[in-house]
Amino acid sequence: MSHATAAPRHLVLRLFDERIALRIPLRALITATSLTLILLLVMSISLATGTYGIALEEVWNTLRGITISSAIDNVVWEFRFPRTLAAALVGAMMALSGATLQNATRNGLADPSLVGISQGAALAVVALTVLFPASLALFRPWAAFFGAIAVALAIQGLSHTRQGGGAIRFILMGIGLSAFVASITSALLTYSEIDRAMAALSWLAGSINATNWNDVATLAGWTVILAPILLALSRTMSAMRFGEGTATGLGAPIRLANNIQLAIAVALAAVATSVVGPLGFVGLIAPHAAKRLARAGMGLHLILTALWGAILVSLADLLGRAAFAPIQIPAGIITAAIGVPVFVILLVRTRPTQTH
Amino acid sequence: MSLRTLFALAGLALTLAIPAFAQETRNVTAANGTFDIPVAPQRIVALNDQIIALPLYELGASVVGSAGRVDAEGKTFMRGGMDTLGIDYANTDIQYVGQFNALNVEAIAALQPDLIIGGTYTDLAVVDQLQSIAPTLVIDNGALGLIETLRTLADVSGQSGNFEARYQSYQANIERTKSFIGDTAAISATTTFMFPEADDLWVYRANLGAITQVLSDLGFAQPAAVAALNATQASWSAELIQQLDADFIFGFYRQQPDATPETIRAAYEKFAPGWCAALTACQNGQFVVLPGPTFGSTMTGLELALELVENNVAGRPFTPFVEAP
Amino acid sequence: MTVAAAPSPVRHSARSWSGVPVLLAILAGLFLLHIAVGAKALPLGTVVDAFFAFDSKDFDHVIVFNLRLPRAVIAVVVGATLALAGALMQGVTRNPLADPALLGLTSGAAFAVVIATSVYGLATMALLPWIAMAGSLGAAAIVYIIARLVPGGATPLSMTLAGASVSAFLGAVISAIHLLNQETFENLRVWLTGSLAGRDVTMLYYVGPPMLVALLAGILLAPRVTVLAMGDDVAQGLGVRTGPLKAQLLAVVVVLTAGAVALAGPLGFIGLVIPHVVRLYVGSDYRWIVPYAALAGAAYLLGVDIIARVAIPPREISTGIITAMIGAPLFVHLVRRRTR
Repeated sequence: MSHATAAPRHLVLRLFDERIALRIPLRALITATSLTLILLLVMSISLATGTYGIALEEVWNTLRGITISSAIDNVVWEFRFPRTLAAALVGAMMALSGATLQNATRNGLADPSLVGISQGAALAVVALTVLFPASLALFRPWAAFFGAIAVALAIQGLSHTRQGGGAIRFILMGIGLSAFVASITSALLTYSEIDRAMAALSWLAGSINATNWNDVATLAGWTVILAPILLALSRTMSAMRFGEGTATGLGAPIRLANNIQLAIAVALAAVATSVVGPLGFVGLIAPHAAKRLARAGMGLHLILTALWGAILVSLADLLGRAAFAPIQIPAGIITAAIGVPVFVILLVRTRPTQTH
Repeated sequence: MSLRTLFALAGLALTLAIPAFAQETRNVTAANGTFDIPVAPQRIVALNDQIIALPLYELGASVVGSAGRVDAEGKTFMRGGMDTLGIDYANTDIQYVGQFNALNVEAIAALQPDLIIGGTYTDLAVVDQLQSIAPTLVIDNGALGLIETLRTLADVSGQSGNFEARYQSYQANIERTKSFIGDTAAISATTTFMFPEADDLWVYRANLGAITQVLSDLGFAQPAAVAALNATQASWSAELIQQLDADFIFGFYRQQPDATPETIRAAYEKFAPGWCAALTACQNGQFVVLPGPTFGSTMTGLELALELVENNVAGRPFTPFVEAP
Repeated sequence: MTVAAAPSPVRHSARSWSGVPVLLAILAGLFLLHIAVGAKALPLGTVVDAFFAFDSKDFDHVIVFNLRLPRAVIAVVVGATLALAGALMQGVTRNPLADPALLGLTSGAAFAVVIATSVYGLATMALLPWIAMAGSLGAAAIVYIIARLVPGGATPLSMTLAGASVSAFLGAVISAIHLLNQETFENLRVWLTGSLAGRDVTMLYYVGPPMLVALLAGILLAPRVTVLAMGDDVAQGLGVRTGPLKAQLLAVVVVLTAGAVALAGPLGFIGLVIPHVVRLYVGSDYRWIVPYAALAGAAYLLGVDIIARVAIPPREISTGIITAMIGAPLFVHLVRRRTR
């Protein structure tokens, strides 16, 4: 785009003696602000909603540190607050994972739950739940994490050729391997005791039900480590939007960047899945939604994507526990049920010629 | 919020908290550690309906909340509640607190329980959260077996006296039934479970609630193939049903429209065409489908299972099974 | 157009008929093996007697005649139709990774059946195939629309991904139903993995006739699929009206898939794997691929079902779990070979 038309609609941010200069499109900035406000609103409603009736005012006072009763303290501080934060964090992580995966594989339909990462985590957790029901809850996140990493490594290894790993191969390998892994999972579910199968099934549906401060710390810690790497890579990532040839022409170290991106995508999804179970479609939808709302540079696009993901999962968790009370529906089912139709609408509104 | 309301609320909270503090406590050890629990718990939440809430309720414990199920119409119910004890959420003070694998911790907190009891099927992350509300015990019913599970539940809920009295009369009834039958070890029985969909047949060596307990207390034998199982249960190939032949074969119907005695019998025939013709037990009218409470985990279920088995084995003539040469 | 006018990219055209008797022999052999072996070891004499001197009072005869024979027949029908459907789909979409399960047709049919039986309590078997057909047609349409709308159009990759996401979505809804209503999960958990155990042969009376028509139509349309597989432009240049042809082929695929799901539940990967194996031997002429795929698919599913029944007695494994366990690695292998 020409400099003359672009200039008025951009905000230029200069940091560190102009070593970093950011030209931020105004519309994207406004979008980011509104999304942040929406997220805060959803999180507030989430904090005020629950089976344990607490008035909004009481929630606010509890959060300010005024003890109304130890029970209310407990509900707000130990149940609602970590749950609300975990939902937002998990959403942001899955969304970033999806955006990164889509960028690295140059395919707008890539999602952690379609390429075997979720299935690897699921198999590990189901195996643990069904075969060693007495094992410690402590092991579950680790099992999920290693399951996800193992499947991701297998996909990476299988899709690697002498010419390097093809992005298309990565996705197709993912689909093949996830079908394989899922068949073992369903064998375990079908031939185990019904109660154990049911216990595993609730985790498989993706539920934020039982998150505590440790989970929040895990999620936040990994986000703090991984998200800045993505932002640092954003320039290379935006070059890669135009295809490998262009990116190489622009001097981007393609193969390295690609591998780092895939690794981060897997790590983000694996950590999020290990805490709340497989949450499908967030990684698929959030980047598309971010793209539709505002065109932005890669860095800002990632932030918008993360915000979208956080809103989506927070909303799904809120709907899941409030809409059909007293019956609670896991967030993963809500994300799938609202996510896929939204996704189809988004796609229908795209003209095939418009690439980004 | 004004200072006055705050004081009022604090005062209210204090009065609500007093009973919990005033209670005497004692030390108990469960599968997940040792806990200080009230000597006489007044507000118990059960994390499973069939295995925990029903036995607690029938022993006279004060259950204020229980996990349950959701039926096809979206109505919550306690499995086995109506057919075993005639109770449900609608006709008791028991509140629904989620499904056993999707518990609602806030609903549990709102009930202000002084004791929470779950099992090995309970999500351990949820158990950790619940510890901040009240001591939460994990009872490993698989390892304990039915009688010890009931004894433990009675003990922690302060109802040991009720349990021991009922258990004694159950044992006396077992002896009475044995005296009616004579050499019980000469009689073989197989416990099977069939779902209405007729996809697979499950065979239980042990741990199908009251019925397997009663059969083993009576000293009945099992077919060799069943006795040889490593696991407590296995799904069985239709081709091998003749391995299940015995003096008596038991199946189960339930209080739900698709699991009536008639549909369950039809499911056996659909799963293995010629089921009845292939099994001498069935030919002789000794394939018996029992009502749901007999595979439940209650004292009532034990008493009912014993009566029904006694009635089928001692209350009428039957044709003994002769192993094919 | 006539068969003779078709360009001949076939490498082994001279040998093309020669494989039929071989495959038929293998199929017959596996069929007999399927009937002869099982969880219960029966002497061969008993198996033969079951056919020539059936005694309904002898349970061994019942095993052969009422348990193994219907199961073998269903394996043949389902295997043949899924492989044939997969072959046609690969030709029409020019997508080497097309498969009724991968592109969402199977889960669409399964989804419709689950909804109809568990939510609406449908018990009429006669309606089931039609519900399955509606489900798989709906899923096929959604997958195709999504793939078309993706920037770049309906490429094999976008089709596969769209299929995977539609399947995942339907899977999520099915698991929601399970979670909310545990009874249906207990009732349907084996069926949902795709199983040939305890299948009702009477279902064959309802789905058999439409499936047979679709099967014949598929074989008759096969020569034109070869032309279609070379591209719409080429096909139109050769005088093929691609639009109506594609619609007819879609109808064939939907009827076959829905029938197979109604018979055996969702079985994956047969439609993907078999046509590829067949292509290795008969080349790329669908005139041969289609009938060969049907025969090989039948043989394959018979073989898999034999494993499912005898692997760990006294239990039986769900056939669908084994087809996925064998099929998925083959899929991975295909991707490795084809996208170098």
